[in-house]
Amino acid sequence: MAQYIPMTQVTVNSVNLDDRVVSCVLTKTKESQDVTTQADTARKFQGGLESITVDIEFQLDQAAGETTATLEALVGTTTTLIMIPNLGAVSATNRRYTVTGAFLESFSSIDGGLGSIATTTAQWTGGTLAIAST
Amino acid sequence: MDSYKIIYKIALGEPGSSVSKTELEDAGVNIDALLASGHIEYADKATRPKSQLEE
Repeated sequence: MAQYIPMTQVTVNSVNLDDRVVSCVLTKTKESQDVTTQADTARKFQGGLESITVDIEFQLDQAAGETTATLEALVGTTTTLIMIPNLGAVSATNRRYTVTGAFLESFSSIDGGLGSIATTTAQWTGGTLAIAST
Repeated sequence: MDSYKIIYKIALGEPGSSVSKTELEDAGVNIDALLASGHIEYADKATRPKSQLEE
């Protein structure tokens, strides 16, 4: 069933940035490793290392304690991200996704054009993912 | 124990309250980044690195 996301609860380094999040994408991948041998008649693969990627589009806000200050300070470091798809308490249908040790390589403090709301996408890579329903 | 004063709201507390280094570390918080962004500050000078005391 499709999941309608009216608002994702997003916490970056313990700072709640819900009201500045435009979109949020969490992707978990596993590298495919070729385990085919001469005994096989078709390619076979198995999962290798896991990789987590989180892309969050934010509205830029230079006010104290807001997105720009929070994210500028995290460039080149790791932190913890917490994402909950919908408003309300964590449950079996609204699980909490926690990425620990996510690395932020870059952040665009200025990103926008004439007559538009300044937004930018920050991408975190790596870390470990934990999913909780309570 | 190192303690920090919360300046802007974070998940671990409201502005004006205190949070310990242990609480921050247990939550996976990047303390240096949170200091740099101004969300928290050292609760007292005794917990500040020597380099900051000399400023």
